[in-house]
Amino acid sequence: MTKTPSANVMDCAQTREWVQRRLDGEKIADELVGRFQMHLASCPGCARWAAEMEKAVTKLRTLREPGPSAQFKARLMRVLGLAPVPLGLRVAAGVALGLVGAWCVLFFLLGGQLVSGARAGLSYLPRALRFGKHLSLLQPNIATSLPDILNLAFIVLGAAVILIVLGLLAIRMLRRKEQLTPRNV
Amino acid sequence: MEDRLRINAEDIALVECALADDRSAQRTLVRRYQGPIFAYIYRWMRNRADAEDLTQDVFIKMFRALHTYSRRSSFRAWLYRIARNRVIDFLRRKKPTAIDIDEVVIAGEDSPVKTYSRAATTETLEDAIAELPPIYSEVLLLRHRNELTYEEIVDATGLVLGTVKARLHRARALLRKKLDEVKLL
Repeated sequence: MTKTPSANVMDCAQTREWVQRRLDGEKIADELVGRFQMHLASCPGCARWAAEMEKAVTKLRTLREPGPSAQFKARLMRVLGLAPVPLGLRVAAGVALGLVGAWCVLFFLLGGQLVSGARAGLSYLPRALRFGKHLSLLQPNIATSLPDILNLAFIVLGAAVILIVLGLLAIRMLRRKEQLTPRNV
Repeated sequence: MEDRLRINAEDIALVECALADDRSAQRTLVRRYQGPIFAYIYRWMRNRADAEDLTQDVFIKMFRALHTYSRRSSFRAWLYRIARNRVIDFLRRKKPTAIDIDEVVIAGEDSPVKTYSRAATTETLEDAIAELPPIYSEVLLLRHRNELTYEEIVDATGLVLGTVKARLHRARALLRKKLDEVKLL
């Protein structure tokens, strides 16, 4: 390093300070530029130091950062409830909703008939539930009882599917809401 | 400068949409920052599993606290602040005696990161950065790799501007020295 008593030339410490400030994005004041450059031109140590500092900073810009794995990215989206729904699940949901829709339409159109049929079907239920006796359903009156039983099954199974679909949707929404609920952190 | 303003305007627009439960905006925010936040945390932890867990926590906290984000400051600085607090919290819990993390790291003793770093041998720019005390590599990378402004670094770290500048000057000088020693400049 050189120490210069002249007021017209910066010393090494001042020059290096300005090299740093220039890297900070600070502009060297007009009245200092000449003195700064004069020092760099006359001091090989500072000139090398300044060039190396700039090189080091340039290298930093090209540094490859450690990145998260693809598995982690997928996990993060899942945890946050932001993962796109898989195709299979979307198809299954579409089919389930289609069935629910068809059930609702049928119930709307044939509601009265279905309910009265199902009510009749209910009378077969105790017999059907008694172990070993259910085969009696296959007795000669099967032709008349079967439509009533089907009506009952249609109502019960349809309602069950609707409840399951709504339940699954509610669970999914509640879990997501719980995760992302605003809290003071 | 214009880029930074544009990015922040985009971030704020995304935040508004995310608050209105727009999934696409929420996904974009996560995709945009999962890499930088993971890299930032990884530099402290030097451990992929911990870095992934903490990154996940940061994004959960981000969504929970999104309503508290003040649009006057930079969004990414706010997010880095959450990440920094989470890292400090984690390191404090890991240490049997809670001591101010900055003091620990400044002293260069007992920091888990320092311990991991000591084993490294400098062969690449990556190694040289890993060998810097984290308080220096933190500001160095935030400034020159992630291109945060001084104001953003102040917001992200909670340090005063003078400290940020002093650390950055010291960090650059240390990095230059290390790279020079191993002939990487």
